[in-house]
Amino acid sequence: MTDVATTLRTFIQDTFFVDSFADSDSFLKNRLVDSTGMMELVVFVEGQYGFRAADTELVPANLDSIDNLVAYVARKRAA
Amino acid sequence: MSALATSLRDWASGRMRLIDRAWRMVDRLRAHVELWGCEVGRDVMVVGPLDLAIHGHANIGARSSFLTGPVPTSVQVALGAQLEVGQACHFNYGVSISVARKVRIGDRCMFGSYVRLEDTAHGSSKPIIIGDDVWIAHGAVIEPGVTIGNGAVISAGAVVTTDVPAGMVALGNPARVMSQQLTGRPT
Repeated sequence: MTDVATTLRTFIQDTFFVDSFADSDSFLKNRLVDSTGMMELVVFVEGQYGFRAADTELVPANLDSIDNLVAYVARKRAA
Repeated sequence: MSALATSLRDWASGRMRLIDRAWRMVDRLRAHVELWGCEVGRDVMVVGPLDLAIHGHANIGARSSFLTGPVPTSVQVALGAQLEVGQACHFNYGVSISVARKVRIGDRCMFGSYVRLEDTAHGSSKPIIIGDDVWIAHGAVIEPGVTIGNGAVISAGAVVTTDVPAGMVALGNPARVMSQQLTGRPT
């Protein structure tokens, strides 16, 4: 598990009071995070990793699981 | 169920339908009284009083409706200003619309209670344009110069300061935009 994944998992568990879930689990399908929570997650990721997400990037492919988030953060940091 | 009970039930539901139709007629008539000074389309309904000050041009599309509640909906259109409301738009109570220049609302839009639209801030006016099938939830504020695309959703309490593209959802203060797929709401 990468550092990014650990940080994100800790934030999600502490903020949304959810139990264990897999890195590939969809936040929405498993009702781990609601729409307002999703925005909290975006603001956390932006603050933590120092980039601004464009509106068009706020889609499930980038945000809807730990795996997707890790890949998205890696892409943004590389850019 | 006995034949008597069945016929009583049919009679009662028939009466209810008649009463319902009568109230709808009253609401349509009230629309022409309450929206005096506006161009009003067919079958516009106003349930309860409105707080209106129309000095410019206001056009309310067919089948739109204004509901009543603890606070009446308020519409102010300044001299030379233009308010256009499309067809089948629904306004809950306490909606407040102030137009100094131009506000255009598309068809089939829904406005929750206490939504605020004003096209002027700090003395400068910029038009507010709202597309078709837009849902603006309770207490949202739409700032001057904002354009909202077709099918967008504005979350309750959002303060919208920038444009919202079609099919997206805006939430927070200042509002941020994200895909409706991230809300779990079918698109």
